[in-house]
Amino acid sequence: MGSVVLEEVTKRFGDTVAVDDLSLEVRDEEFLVLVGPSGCGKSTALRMIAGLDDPTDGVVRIDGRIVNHVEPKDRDVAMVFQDYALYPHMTVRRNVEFPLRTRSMDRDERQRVVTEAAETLGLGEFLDRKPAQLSGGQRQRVALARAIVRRPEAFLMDEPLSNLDAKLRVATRTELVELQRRLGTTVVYVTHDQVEAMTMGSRIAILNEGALEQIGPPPEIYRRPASVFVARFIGSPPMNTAAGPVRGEPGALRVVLPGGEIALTPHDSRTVAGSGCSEIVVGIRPEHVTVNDAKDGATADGAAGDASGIPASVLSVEALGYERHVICRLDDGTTMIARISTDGPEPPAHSAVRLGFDTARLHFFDPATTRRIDG
Amino acid sequence: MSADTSALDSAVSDVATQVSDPVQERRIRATRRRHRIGVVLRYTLLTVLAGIVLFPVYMTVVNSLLPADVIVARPPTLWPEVREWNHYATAWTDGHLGLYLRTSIIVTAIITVGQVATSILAAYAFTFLDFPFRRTIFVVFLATLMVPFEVTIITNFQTISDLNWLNSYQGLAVPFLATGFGAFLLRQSFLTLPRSLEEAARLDGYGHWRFLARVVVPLSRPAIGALAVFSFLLAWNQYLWPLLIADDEQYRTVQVGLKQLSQSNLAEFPITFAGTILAALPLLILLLVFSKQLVRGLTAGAVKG
Repeated sequence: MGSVVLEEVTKRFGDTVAVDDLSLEVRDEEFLVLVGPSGCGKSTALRMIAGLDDPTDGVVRIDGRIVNHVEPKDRDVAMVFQDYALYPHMTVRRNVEFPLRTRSMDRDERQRVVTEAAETLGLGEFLDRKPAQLSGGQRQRVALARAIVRRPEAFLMDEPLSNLDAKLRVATRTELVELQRRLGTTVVYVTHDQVEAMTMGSRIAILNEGALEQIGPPPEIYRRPASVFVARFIGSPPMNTAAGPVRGEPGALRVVLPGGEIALTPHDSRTVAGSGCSEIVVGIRPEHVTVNDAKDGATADGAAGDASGIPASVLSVEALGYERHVICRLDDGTTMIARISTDGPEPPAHSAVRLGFDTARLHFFDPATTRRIDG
Repeated sequence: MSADTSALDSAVSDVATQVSDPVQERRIRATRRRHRIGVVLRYTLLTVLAGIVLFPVYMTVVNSLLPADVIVARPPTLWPEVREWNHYATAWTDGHLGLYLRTSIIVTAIITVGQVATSILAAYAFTFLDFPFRRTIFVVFLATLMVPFEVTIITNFQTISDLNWLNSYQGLAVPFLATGFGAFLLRQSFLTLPRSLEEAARLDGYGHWRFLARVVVPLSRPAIGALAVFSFLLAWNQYLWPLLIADDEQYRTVQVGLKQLSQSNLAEFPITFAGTILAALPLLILLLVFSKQLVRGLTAGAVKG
């Protein structure tokens, strides 16, 4: 039904390449999130699906049909814009029924559809108000209502939550996913917010400089990031990465980092040896780093640790209430962040510590290609 | 999902209004007094200025009602004891002002409607359509604003005369149906509309004409209204062109007719004054009706609404 496929799509604006040879499949009834930093081409990709921009190269398919030369209105997609694009001079009712007025639909039927959409989104009592009389959240619902009355094959959403305040955004996140399940339609959702991507997407596509870095379900992306970019983009605080040469025999390799070494597990040793890299980028999530006392090796949250970690100095500690982020610096200036519980004393700023790594949870990347090394 | 903060809000405002400190209260009262003096001064100044502007208008009305021999008396009469309303009737019938007003209204209406229509279309094209040399053509449009009408008047006269349009409504109106100023004014207004409105309409199956009619025009009413008023004023107050084009009574506009009235054998001052008032009346009515639109149009760019 509502599948959306991009095949080797490229979009150039003059000399700049906004989208670079992007291939992507959005399955029917899937909630796919396109995420990436600003300027990564995610909005352009969405606009090409909508038909608002034409691809320079490649093919766009909706529901199996090639739509490159199909007018936006005939693509059977509805879009929710970042600024909602409501018509300020029309009431909510007129706004919601606006897409229906170009179709042959009689008055009663139109009224019924509008009322139903308003009901679904809890807008019943606002139908006769103008957009200016509504709050940000209500306007956002009107934009959604206008999209759902068309019963499109796919919803295209361009950062629909970015104009809401933080609290409302969290609540609306859940509601949007719930709405998508209920309607059973395909959603392509663009955001720069990795938390939105992780919490809403059934799959996430991460874009960087117009190219696809990785696509997959959120847990897989978190556990097995395909590149240094994905590793550092998804997760907050981001994954720590450091480059160093590989030493030792196959089966018992060590990575030399500034101030110390990390011994790899036999499994990781085989993986890294298999890649043939003599130097490697090691990645570790902040939650897999412990902050140990420089002398006795006790961890910051009180547990007995080991004294063998990498020496570092504490730059600052961010206490979030439920956890703490200890921001450290290695000898060569590399920043490493450890995420620790709130138990135990706080490591004082500028104090010397040793960072312990959970060696079973290391990620490895090829420094030349920045892609993940897997066994 | 709606957070109920009204209770908190009212609690905050309660605290804010409870000012019990006597020093602070005195200070607030002093500020209010100073504010009141400022208002009085401002309104006095405005009243004086309004008087200066309105006095000649008032004197025109007074003079239009005076008997012909009283008008030249010194010192001038400020309040007419005898009011000769028949001067207006004379100006209307014997001075043919009724006829001239009719011509003026017809020509002005054609010019106003034409200018608004062509400006809307041109501004739409410059804003929403993508065509080659768009910028260049727009600059050329703007450049026409720098060319005074007097420069083109001879060629225009030649054209109209070649078309055999002397002494006709089209001869009076057609050269003014398009204006670079109008296209510029409306384009600036259209540019303030979010681009996403157009994209949303496109996705919903609205073509250019329907998007223009349903969204762009309703949302740009202040600017369009202002343009209409400006066009009307300009067309109504034309003198040189109608003088050149129309020597036939039938197609004489009120401004030209008024001048002739003052030089004719009816050349009694009160009748000329009465004619002046009659000629200004349509404008006055228009301004009273549309003053709000006019001001809004003028300040449209200044204050983001």
